[in-house]
Amino acid sequence: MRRISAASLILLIIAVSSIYLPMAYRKLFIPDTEKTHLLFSPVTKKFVYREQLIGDIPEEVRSKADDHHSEIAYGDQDGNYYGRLDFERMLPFIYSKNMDMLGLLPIEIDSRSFDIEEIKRGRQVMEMTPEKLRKHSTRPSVWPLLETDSGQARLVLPDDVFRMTDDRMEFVNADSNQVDRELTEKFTRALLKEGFSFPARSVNSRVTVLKPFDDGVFIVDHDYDVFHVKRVKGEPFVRKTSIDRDIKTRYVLVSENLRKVYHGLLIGQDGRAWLLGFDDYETIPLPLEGYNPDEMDLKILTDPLYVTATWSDETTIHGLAMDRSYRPVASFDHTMSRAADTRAKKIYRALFPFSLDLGHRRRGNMEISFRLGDRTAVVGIVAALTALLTVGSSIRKRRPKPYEIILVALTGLYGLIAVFLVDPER
Amino acid sequence: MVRSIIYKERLKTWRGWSALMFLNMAVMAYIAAETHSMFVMDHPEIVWYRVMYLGSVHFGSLRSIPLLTGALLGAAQFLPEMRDERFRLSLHLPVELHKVVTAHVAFGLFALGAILLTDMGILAVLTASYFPLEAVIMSLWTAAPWCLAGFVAYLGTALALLEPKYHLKAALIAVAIALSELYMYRTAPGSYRTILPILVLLSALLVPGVLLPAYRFRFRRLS
Repeated sequence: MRRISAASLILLIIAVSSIYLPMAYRKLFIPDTEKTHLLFSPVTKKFVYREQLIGDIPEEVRSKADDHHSEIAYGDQDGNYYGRLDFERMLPFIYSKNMDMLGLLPIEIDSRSFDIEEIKRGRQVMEMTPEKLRKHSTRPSVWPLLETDSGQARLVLPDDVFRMTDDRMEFVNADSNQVDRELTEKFTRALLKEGFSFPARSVNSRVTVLKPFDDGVFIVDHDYDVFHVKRVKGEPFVRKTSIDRDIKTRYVLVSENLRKVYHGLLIGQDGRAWLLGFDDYETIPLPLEGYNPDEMDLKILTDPLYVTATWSDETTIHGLAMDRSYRPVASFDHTMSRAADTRAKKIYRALFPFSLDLGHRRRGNMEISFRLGDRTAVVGIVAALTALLTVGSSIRKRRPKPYEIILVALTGLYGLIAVFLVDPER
Repeated sequence: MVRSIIYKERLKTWRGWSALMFLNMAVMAYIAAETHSMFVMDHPEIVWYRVMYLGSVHFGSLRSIPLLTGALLGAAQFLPEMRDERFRLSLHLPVELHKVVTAHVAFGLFALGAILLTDMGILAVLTASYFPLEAVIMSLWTAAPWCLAGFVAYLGTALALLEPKYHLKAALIAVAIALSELYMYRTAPGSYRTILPILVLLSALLVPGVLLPAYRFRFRRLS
């Protein structure tokens, strides 16, 4: 029992150390660096970016910095660096307010003139992040169905929420905390009449009243048909959309933008993405090569001339610019500065042969992952073994046991701490 | 013999356990009053929106209570045993050491479990009377890691009190604090459900782990 007890404590100390020591090191020596902002310039027809640099800052970047943030670089795909103002001038559709204040609007691009109102009318941003997907989301499976035509200037929360059960769309009243049978019956009947097949696979909506209008919810049924459901003057509005079943809709990012060109962004089971047209639910494919909705952030930025998609993991950002007919006109891949291999990162890899990473993406579910280091960790392991054989032997007044040597050889610093704290021979 | 140990533990911890149960019930009563006042101050749909979508936790006052309960119960059970090294008497009984220590720890875990399960039960009933079932499940997933931190605090206290050497005591306290802290991240409500099984497996290592300091305590050389 003594051995089992010692083994349990050793294992526990190794696990706890492999969470906290790398975490502490990262907090001290590897600061969090924000992701690069990649954009397409309608002026130069090139991708440009704003990036927080880590490591050595090029002299050109330092000289262009017009404030104390010399680590912020404004660059383009050809490796040129710019000052902040020049950078903003290349993006008049993004920094339109600054352009207007500087008297640079209206601006002429491609023989067309754009004033601030036209720029505003033509702009739309959609951001898709992994924690919005059901798999990563912490939100409960009930949704409010807002009144689309409330007759008021602002949207208000309804008195109820709904859930999708195996055979009905069930409304629960907030005042009584009881199922509203009449409303449940009314909406379930409307869904069945349109051909809805229970149980639902997903419910997609933007749960907030801080939006210009309400576009209802998109419910994916058991057969992967997508139904657009709204509450209009208290009555159900249910429309079976023309979205292809073969897409196997996984998620609909509802946009609710006053342009009313898209309902939003649609993600299929295989990770492909489509824009969802507003009037006829037309699906417009986006050729986002390598995009993985479970791991990557995606931004779709529409301006009066182009639709730009950027998607990124932790190290690389990809950009694709399309014209307003969704034909690709330019693309660019960029390894972000945050991926740079600094001295602190090299020491990290030497010190820690593996780590248990505990955390969460923004407000999503907690995640725990085991990350194995690389061969550099041999340095740390050799140092730990040396410490065990020299300092360890003299402090403990005995030679290390073979199992202690094996443990430290496998786990490095973590094992060294564990065998010092848990010494069953003592 | 094990039955006698449990009887002894019951007599020893009864007052402390009752005080801790009272503390927990007082906190739950406060949470009930707070939850009620939320619905008095605002329309129910606004409260639902805040709790289910904006991440507001209506029982936030409970957060550190299980942790405190676990640590205090561990102290109530093992501090008297370590005074004048009375625990040596139990360890000299004609029963194997691991059975004696395991009986003590099992009693403590059961006593703590009774308090924390009562908390969770009240929380479920309270939440169900104001919110839909989905919010009840989310609340339990939110409170579950706090309760598990309580078990870690109990085992950590037992571990530290049984360990005879002061520098190892300090190290084991650090390990227990680090482990319990893993359950206390301020994240979105219900977000621990994905990793709770792994954390429980990790924390379960403390149960056999408690035996090693007990062996050291029993078989150390006294100068």
